[in-house]
Amino acid sequence: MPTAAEPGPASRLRRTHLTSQLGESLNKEVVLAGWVHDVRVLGGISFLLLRDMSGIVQVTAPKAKAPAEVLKEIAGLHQEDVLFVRGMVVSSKIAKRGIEVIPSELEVVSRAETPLPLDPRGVQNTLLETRLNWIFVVRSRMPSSRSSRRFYSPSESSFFNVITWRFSRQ
Amino acid sequence: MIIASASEGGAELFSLKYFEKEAYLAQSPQLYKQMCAISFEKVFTVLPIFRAEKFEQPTHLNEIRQMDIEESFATDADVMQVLEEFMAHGVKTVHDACSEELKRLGQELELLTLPLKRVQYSEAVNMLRKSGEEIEYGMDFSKTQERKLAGLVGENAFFMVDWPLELKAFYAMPNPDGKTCRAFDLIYNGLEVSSGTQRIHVPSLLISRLKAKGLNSDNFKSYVDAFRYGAPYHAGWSIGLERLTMKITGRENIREATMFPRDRNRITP
Repeated sequence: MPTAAEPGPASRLRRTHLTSQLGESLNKEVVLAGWVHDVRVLGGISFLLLRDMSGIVQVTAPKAKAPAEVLKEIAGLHQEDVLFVRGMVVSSKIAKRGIEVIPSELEVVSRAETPLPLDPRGVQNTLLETRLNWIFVVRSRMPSSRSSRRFYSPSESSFFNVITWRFSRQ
Repeated sequence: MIIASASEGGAELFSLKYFEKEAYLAQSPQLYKQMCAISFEKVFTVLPIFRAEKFEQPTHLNEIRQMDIEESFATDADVMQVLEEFMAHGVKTVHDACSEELKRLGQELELLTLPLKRVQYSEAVNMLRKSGEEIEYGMDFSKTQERKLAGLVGENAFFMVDWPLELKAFYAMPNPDGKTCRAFDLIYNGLEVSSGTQRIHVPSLLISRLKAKGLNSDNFKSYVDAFRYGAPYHAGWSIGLERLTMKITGRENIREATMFPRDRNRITP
């Protein structure tokens, strides 16, 4: 069971990188923040997929290398718990992105209740009605809004963004 | 734009018929932007909002444009830094790019020096009382007092922080003293142009704050439930863009800071 104290209004750890920014931090210590996308606890090793606004990275905790408290924390995690991870970025032949993070410290800042109203990974199918009610738990990204903004307003001679008035007589 | 219930409880809303239901024009994107922030981490929006207050003051409109941010893994202190950087950037941009226009308006625009001063609410009350104003701890400032305070503080822009819980919305994160909260106002050239808070992301605390405010927590169930499945701590603010424009351009009446002012009497053009 989770051992962390009741989450407070801030965190001890401060994020240093997004998960998309780890390429240049090989063999360096980083602090990441995000959601538990998936967690697997095996005999000699635990895996945590940590998701943030920029992507997902694998956090790997081998029993031989990771501190006992970290292993215990990982065993108590559920999908969508919110946490900070301090760890070393190392290269990996197995992890999808060719890198993984070996954790030295975990700080859980918010626990997700179980069961979730839907599966944010999309592995389990969900009714449309449920998806619409809990859309913010899906946490999808919308890069299209950024690209249309770039299209309309790249320079001074481009389109001026107006927000027209709602109240009118007709 | 169209919502099924009051965003913050309290303030007056425009209601409209929505087929067989009653709906309201949103007075704030508050609850939705929080849900966006726990989904996308960092969001900003510029949108119109509506307040059905029957004021006829030079600082009041019934439809305004508001610029908002909301950020996960951020505290009140973090988003105050974003706000002061945005303000310094905005003022400098106008200062550098619009010198001709400012001259025509007779406005000498002063740049901002960061970090801006943080004045505690209780200090502000004391300063005003010493200067002869009738104000008690727990009361909000009148527009006149806000202007006077700016003179007493002696800064063109400053933050007012550590507000009493009773003066801010139910979702403001309380401080450990149990009396004040992580809320701030930004006073620019003597007018409140922006306010923000760190929000409560813990459902049990939200429910107890709703009750303390005399609100029925059942009416906020879907909002409270949104924080049950992995909500990071988060904070945000909004800027009233017409107020900001009014103060940057040195206008006395907010109706000159928007193209088509919507006040109690005017809905055309």
